[in-house]
Amino acid sequence: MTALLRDSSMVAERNLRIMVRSPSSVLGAVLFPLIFLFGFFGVLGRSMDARGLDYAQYLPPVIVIQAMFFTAIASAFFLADDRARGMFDRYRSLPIARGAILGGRAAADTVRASASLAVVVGGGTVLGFRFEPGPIGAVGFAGLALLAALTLAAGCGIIGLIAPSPEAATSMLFLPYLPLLMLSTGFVPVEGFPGWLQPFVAWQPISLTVDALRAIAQGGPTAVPC
Amino acid sequence: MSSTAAPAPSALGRPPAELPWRRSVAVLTGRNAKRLLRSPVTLVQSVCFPTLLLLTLLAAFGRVIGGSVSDYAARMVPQLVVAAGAFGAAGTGIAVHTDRVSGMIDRLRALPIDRRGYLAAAVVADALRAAAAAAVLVVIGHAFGFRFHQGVAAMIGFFGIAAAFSTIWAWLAVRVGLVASASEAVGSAMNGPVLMLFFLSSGFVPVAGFPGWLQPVVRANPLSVAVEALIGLSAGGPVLVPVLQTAAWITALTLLLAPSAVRRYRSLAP
Repeated sequence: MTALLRDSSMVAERNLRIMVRSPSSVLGAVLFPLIFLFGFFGVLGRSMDARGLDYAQYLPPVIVIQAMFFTAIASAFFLADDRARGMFDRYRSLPIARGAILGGRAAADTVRASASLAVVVGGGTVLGFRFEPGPIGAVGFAGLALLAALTLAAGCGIIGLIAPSPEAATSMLFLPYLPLLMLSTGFVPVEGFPGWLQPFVAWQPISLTVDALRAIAQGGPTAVPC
Repeated sequence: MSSTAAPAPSALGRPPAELPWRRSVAVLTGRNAKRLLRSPVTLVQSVCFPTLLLLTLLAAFGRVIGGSVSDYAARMVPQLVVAAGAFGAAGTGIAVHTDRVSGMIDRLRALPIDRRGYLAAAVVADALRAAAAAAVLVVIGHAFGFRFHQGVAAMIGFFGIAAAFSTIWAWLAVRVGLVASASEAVGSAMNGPVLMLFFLSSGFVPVAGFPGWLQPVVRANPLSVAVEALIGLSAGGPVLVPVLQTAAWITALTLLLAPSAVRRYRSLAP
């Protein structure tokens, strides 16, 4: 167990070095979530506020989930890249715990997800986003967001391990990412969607996760969807 | 041995005549188009991604922002036609980068073709790609209420402007592809500015929907003026002023980007 943790942290450090040195990875983790946060707020904020929705409180959770998606897609890209370059074979020839390959990936993803989370929450705070229950709300919010990031990374990782190339993995993952993100209660309440689409929008996993994050931030009922 | 090894004079002869520049551009454009069609990644980026974006944006924001899905389609189809040119151009930049690092550009220089052919073909192929993406978006938009109400000439103008506007991104992509250190860097260098322009465009929400201090930026955004021109040529509305503004942006940015790309191309190590 200690060997697994030690080896995982070593692999994680290697993964993080690669991510920090890749400009697209750094921009994707830090800058793009901010562009989306301020972009959607600028575009939709007025219409939504006019409908009686406090958009500064409403929007940040879905941007957090979007950033977690970016982390997961990047994770799949790097897995596919390692696979294409024969890095997995190299790992297998080393005296390290087998689990450290995925453990190190997950640990590096968690670090990246935390950085994105901090950036989005910071940007949201500028717009007026608040954790109504105080620090406990912030901890719960971060915990759920990181759990979502790891879940998404696990799902995207499957594609990363079977895709023909890293670029193909990224392209393929856009196909589930975009509908799940846009057709969710993240940007617009469920009533804004065409009637026949509303059941999907209300119950798909991204909507439920965003609703839960929102409920935690507002200190509202969190046990069941409201 | 030594006497027979000398090649026959006819084999040395005069070098083959240089391919005239129009033929050079046509041949290289064909090469680029083939590569584009054979790359699933580029196809997804330049056609599937804007289509999916159109469908999801219409579903999510159609009623809230546009009042109805069909009213919003009249605005969102032009917005995505313009944006598709920008999103797909990263693929062109990556292709140029690949040609540079793989030695393809050096190889082309050794061939008797017009020197101007390579860059022109990259831009022409990209404009064709943008026009094809525009056609797909128009057909899909039609199912949701997007219509050409201004006749056939306006429709031709619509696609002409879409293709001409996309050459801005093509020149930018070529310029970035000629200097980028890695192919991923091409995408990340282009996506940031493109995303910001995408959000600050009146294609998303009419100018009046933006906060007051942002409105001048939104009005001046090249994407906004191109979208307004395309709306005028499809649903109807002002045409002359937005078309002239779009032409001004295309001219200004081409004058800025094209000479710099040509200089860079010339200065590549032989």
